[in-house]
Amino acid sequence: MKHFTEAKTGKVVKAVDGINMEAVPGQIFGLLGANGAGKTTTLRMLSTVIQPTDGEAWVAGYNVVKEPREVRRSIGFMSNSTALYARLTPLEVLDYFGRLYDLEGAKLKERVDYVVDRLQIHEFANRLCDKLSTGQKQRVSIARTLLHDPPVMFFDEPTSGLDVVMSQSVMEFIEEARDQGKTIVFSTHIMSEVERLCDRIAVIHDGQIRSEGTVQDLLQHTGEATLEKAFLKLVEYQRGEAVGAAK
Amino acid sequence: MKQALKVTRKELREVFRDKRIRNAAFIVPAFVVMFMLSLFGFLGETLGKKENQRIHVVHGDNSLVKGLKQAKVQIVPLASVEEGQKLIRDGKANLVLDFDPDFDARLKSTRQAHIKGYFDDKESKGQIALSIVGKMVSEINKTTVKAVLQARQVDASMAEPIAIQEQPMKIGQSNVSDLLVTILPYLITVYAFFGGLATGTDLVAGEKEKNTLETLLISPLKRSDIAIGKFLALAVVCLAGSLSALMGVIIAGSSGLSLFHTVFPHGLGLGASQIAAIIITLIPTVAFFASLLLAVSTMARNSREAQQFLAIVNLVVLLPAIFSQFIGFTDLASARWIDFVPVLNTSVTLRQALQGKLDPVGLAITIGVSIVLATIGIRIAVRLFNREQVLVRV
Repeated sequence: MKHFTEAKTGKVVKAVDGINMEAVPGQIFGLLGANGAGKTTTLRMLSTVIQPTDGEAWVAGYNVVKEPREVRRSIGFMSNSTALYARLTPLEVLDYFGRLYDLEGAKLKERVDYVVDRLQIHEFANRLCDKLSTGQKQRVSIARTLLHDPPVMFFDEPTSGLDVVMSQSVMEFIEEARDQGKTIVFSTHIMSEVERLCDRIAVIHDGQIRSEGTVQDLLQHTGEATLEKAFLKLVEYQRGEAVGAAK
Repeated sequence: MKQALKVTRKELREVFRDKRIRNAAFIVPAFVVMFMLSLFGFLGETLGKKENQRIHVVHGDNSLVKGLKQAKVQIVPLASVEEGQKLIRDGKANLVLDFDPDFDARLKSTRQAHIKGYFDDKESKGQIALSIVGKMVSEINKTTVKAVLQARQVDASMAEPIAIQEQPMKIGQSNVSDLLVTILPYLITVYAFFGGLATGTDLVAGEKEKNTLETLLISPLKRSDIAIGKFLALAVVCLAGSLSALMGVIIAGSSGLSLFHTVFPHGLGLGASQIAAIIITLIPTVAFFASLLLAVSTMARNSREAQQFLAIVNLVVLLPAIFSQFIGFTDLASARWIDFVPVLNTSVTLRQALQGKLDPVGLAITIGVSIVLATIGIRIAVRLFNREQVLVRV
């Protein structure tokens, strides 16, 4: 997949430049990269928010360009750019998105009850989202992601801005989803999360995949002792350089 | 369409919960209209009444001043003109009348009597008081001339050699006052746009800013369903703003309060058919405004940028609406080409509806023009919704 755009200056911005990857059910595939590396653009293309300018991708067996609605029906997406509606309650948010995913009547109620139970939303289910704590909002976001029981889930830096306890809770949820056999693509720049969660990793830099494999594969490939050092070697970091600052 | 209506329902639920939008669209228009109408009523009731006038007089011991006192005009005697001029300069007097010292004697001996009226030419109150005095003087003049003519055995009607006999014709079934005909179309049209301004800004630009739009983009909805759903919600809010203004008029007109008597001398004066004509004219207009607001909001990166764009777009609505208030003073109100000018055509059609002389062809053209513009606006908004550079600014 590629995603090139032309800036106002006329310069071509290569947000993603020829990425090739495969995530499989029951595994967590990690996209590891610095800010601006191309992780979010990749996930946006996979979730059909934007179209690749070149190449093809399939999600749950559907082509992202030719069958975008089927792709969207098959995915759950959570990131800090998928916020909640401040003036709706968690129950209203879930009801709204359930209906958008064509859940109606008893089926909708069953799914809403399930996610409310599963994420312990009861106590604040009828409070406006605007009045919820960050942790409560995160639980509602996860519930929304899970509501239509999608086979594929994308997490774009889901722990960004969360404290240790909340991050732990999010990671536990991702692990559970993996254990249920879902295909998970997880984007982050936090090494410890990658080491804990990911079955396979792609290190992405300047819109390209620099290396792909398990954590052990990356360590062996770079000859480094830690994932952090392996990552810095793969992105050709040099002291004093701002990684990903210039493209 | 079913999916679009799901979006509309959710948007309206949010709108009704937002105090700022609720006030701007549903409450403020009615209150502003009632306040304006009461202000007109207050001015009409107070300024034109003799008992509310206070006139300062020099050499005021004469029959005219006695007549003014009998008409309950407040008279304040002064010793000199200079004293009166100082009071005017200090803002303590509106009108100072300086009579000939032998005013009554002159009238009796058929010599011309003089009154010098001093007032601040930048203030209206002095001129209004002088016009009241002028009417009384005119009556005295007529009576005096008639008496002189009769004494000389000349036909008394020659006191006014030319007499105009006004024969007003009632065209159209309407009891709506001229003042209401002038201002109501402007208010209804403007509130159809401004009532939806806050919602329009919030609906797409605000969602981009708050990161809620992307949540919607990853749902199975078509982009066109999202755009149409938001458009319908916005149209409802615009219509509500306009109907709120109309409701303000209905409440004021039906209240029977003396405060509104100047504007509603015959009660509300609006019949069901006129209200229906107003609503029929408004619906395509609010569709046009909603599509315009939606397109601008989609184009903007955030609420702030949307407000900047809308500051310019406001003029598209405001200028024709302002002009519509003065169109009655020109021949343009009946010109066919006006029916093709957006916004202005709506105001003119509303004006005709209020006058009870709606032109069906003009109404059809106005509705047609608004529908065409609304369709273009929606198409632009949908097209923008399909442009990822606009929607997610990658």
